Amino acid sequence: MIVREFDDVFSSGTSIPKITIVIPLYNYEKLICETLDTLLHQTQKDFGIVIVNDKSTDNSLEVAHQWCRENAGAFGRVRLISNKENGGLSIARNTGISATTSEYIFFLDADNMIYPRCLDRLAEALDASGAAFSFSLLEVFGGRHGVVGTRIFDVDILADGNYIDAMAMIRRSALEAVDGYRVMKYGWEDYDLWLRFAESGMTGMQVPELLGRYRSHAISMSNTTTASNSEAVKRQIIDLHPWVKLIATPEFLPKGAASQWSRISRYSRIISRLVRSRVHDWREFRHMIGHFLQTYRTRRLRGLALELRTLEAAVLRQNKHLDIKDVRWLPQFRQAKSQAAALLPFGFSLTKTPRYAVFFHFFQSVRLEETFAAFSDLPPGCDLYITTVDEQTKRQVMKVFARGTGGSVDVKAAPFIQNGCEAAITVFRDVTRNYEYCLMIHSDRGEEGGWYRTQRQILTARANAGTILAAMEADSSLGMVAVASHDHKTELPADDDLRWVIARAGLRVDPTTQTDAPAGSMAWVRSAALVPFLQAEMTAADFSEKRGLGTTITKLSYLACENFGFNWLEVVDSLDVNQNTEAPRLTITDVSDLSKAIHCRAE
Amino acid sequence: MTDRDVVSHYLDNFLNCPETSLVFSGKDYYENNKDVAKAAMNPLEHYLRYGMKQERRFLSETKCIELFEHVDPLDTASIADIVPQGQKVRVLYTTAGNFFFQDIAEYVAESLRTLGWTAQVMSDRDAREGEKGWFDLVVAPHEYMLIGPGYLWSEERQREAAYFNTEQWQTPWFASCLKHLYGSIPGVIDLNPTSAAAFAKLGIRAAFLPLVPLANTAFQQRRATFSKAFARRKYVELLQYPGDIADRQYDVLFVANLNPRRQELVARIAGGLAPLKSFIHAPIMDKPVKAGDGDMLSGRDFTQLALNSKILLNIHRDEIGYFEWHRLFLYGISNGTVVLTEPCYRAPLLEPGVHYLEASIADIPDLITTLVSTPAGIERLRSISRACLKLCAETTLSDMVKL
Repeated sequence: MIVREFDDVFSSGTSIPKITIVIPLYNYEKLICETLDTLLHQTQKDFGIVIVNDKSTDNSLEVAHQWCRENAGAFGRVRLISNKENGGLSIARNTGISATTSEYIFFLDADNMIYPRCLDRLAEALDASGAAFSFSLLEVFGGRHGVVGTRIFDVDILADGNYIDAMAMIRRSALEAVDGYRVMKYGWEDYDLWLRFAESGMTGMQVPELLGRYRSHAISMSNTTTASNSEAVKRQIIDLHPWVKLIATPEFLPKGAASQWSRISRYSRIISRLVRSRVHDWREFRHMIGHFLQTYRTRRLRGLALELRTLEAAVLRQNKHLDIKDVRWLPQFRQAKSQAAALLPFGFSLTKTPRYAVFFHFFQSVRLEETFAAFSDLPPGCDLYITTVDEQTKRQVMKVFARGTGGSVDVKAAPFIQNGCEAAITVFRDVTRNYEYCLMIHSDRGEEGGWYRTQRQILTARANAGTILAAMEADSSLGMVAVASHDHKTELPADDDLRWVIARAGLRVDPTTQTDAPAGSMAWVRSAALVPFLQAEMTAADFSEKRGLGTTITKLSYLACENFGFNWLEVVDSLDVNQNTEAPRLTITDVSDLSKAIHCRAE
Repeated sequence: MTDRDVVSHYLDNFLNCPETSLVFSGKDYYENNKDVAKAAMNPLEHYLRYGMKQERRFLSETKCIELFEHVDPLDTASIADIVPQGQKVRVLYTTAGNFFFQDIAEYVAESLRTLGWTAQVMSDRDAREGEKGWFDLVVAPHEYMLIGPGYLWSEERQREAAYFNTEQWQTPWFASCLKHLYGSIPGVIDLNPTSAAAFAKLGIRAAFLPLVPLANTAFQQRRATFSKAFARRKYVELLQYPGDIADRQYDVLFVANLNPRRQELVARIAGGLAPLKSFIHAPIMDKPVKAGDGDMLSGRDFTQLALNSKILLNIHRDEIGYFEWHRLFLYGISNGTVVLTEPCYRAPLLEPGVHYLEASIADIPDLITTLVSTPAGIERLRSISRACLKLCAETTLSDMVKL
């Protein structure tokens, strides 16, 4: 525990009371007597007082000394000590702790007050429980009127910010266990203490009564957090306790933009959280918020759009428009080992029924019944995760799918999603991880029949789906299975959006080379092969205005598949009347046949 | 003049017209929706065209207060007017909403059974939710019709259902479900007497169904063990359950969500409460409460605290003086705890001064002190407590509702 050397200015009494009040004093000559007077009326009589003058530059020491001389007789023990050097709030409190041996220590700031039953009730709560400290509701007076300390000590609530004032009674043993108050350059010593208690598994007990008065004014010690250092104090807390959910201004914003940021972050905690967790530069941020605004066009966010423009102006003024971080490109897509396609269905079957997820995006509702029928044809064990273009389609989908498909069904409206793959790595990211196998498909927005429909029919036909699952079960290196197509070589669009996705997923890809993967964006996937995308934590908002990026992502997933040591397989079926590929067909009757058809990079 | 003429006259002259609507005021609508004022669009037209769909705040608080002050809580429809006798009633609630509404739904079904109906609770997870042959009574339509499956219903089914309203009028939740209440052919049942009576003034058929401590429901009031999890974080004394109200260990019990109005007022009376032993459960919540939240006081624990408190203090959520029946009657009056509240609109059967006490915020601290610390005050507590317990013992649910 960091303390200061001090001089004993006043000392009276020799008893060692169970409770001692520690009062750090710094430049409160006008308020200290009012505070100390409230100690005269406590119903609990057996307590000591330690006043720690932290080298005040006004007359605080003299005023306190005078009060001690006049009132010490009313208390078992009174000490007034004066630090040789100013140490700040934490050190003043620690010094106070070191100047007493009491079991319970109550901290009272020199400008606050306590009601007569305060010490009695707080001590009673500590006596009756194993809590590290007890605290009560406090009346806020002075600048504003209100109540603080209304919630219980709870790790989840504390993570959102502090709501417990320093005016609490703490066990000496608990203080010693965490080495007292920590020196915090910018403040929030009490919050830091509660967080450390929480981290050590200690708890606080709320006494549900109004037992103290918290003065609200500009220069109260615990109120030293002004706009200029509020970011610093937050960042310090976040650094020390990474699990808290506080939001600090992103570091990529220039200093001049901090005030605009604080106005923005008030609008939506969702935005702030997104930003805190994932965005590293201004361009990404601007991009994401822009899409957020488009997605949630509500009145409430109109003000946010305005604030955002101001923020942008501030950023541009500072000439801090950052570029996307460099991505190291590596040559990819070497010649595939095999150009053959496997003929469906294969000649072997599942040994056990797996649970698998189907991710599906619905553009429109006209073929709802047909799609429902296709899903009903899938082998057992299927849970459906559906995204739709809008709320109306969602309702229609829910209505039809309420009839049941044998597994669970979850429908979400996500207008910017383009296909099942996007759905799996954004809105349903958390469920994707729970399944070993996934099927990613989507509805076609275009003409009746066609390539999309063929692909979907091939991949969902019960016999086909069953044997594809059997192949994935039998060969754990098999990452993806897709319908063979003839236009393998597609150039990845060499744009910033793609670079962004690649950078985000941490893939090593040269986007200027051609891909060697099936066209289209429907496939059976082992979710392990999607790991880079799942870890990228993308959201639906990232996909707005990026038409076709989902197809690109499916293409990238073949690469991800290879990067992670998985192989992929192309299949054909007699259903495919247009015969989209001229690749030689292989009949698969056995697991060992798979290796002949598997695509992987030739070394 | 035809109705159409009246409307067009209003639309042309709205700013100079006397505001004839009982709950709508163009000026207040402008006040609450500044963008509409800026666009200088006719407020009523805006509300009817867009505002209702957008669930905007449209009720004028001053008009509501005026309306509530002039309604007679006995002037309501009967339950049988809303729910035809002999009908099989399906009481619906959604599992997507606040945990509290399941308790309400179960209570509503049980009370209907007590009153002679055949009634069953069904959640949106129940397969029979769409079966024919039932009469639908939707609990908490602001949840069921918005986040529950109600929005999938055909318009016809929406109109044929009756609704059980739980919300105060000035809240956004009420605004969000009013269109369903208006559209309902059978009408509305409300758990608040003032609200039920005021619906009638708007031309919506409505009846009052009070929450009473009915056996086999979550609202039965009885002694039980206090939840240990709750007492681990909040200091609760060993409860004594004395026979005499004067011996109850907590002087004042206050349970509420501490919105800004209540915060301000509690701070104003803090000095008066501080010398007394109080139990203040008033978390400042920024999210809906879920069962199992550490900071949630269950109904059962509320009952235990009420049985050990002399006074149950009530501060209104807003400037509107609803008799908050659920808190005041169920937890206060039926446990013989003396309710002290800011002035309220009248409730059936209950007499201020006899069954509960009213005082302005400024007078509350002195009144509490007198009640708990003078012999005359204690005698007054005893007599009110006795009157409450007597009323509850002698009155059954069917005495309290219009059938």
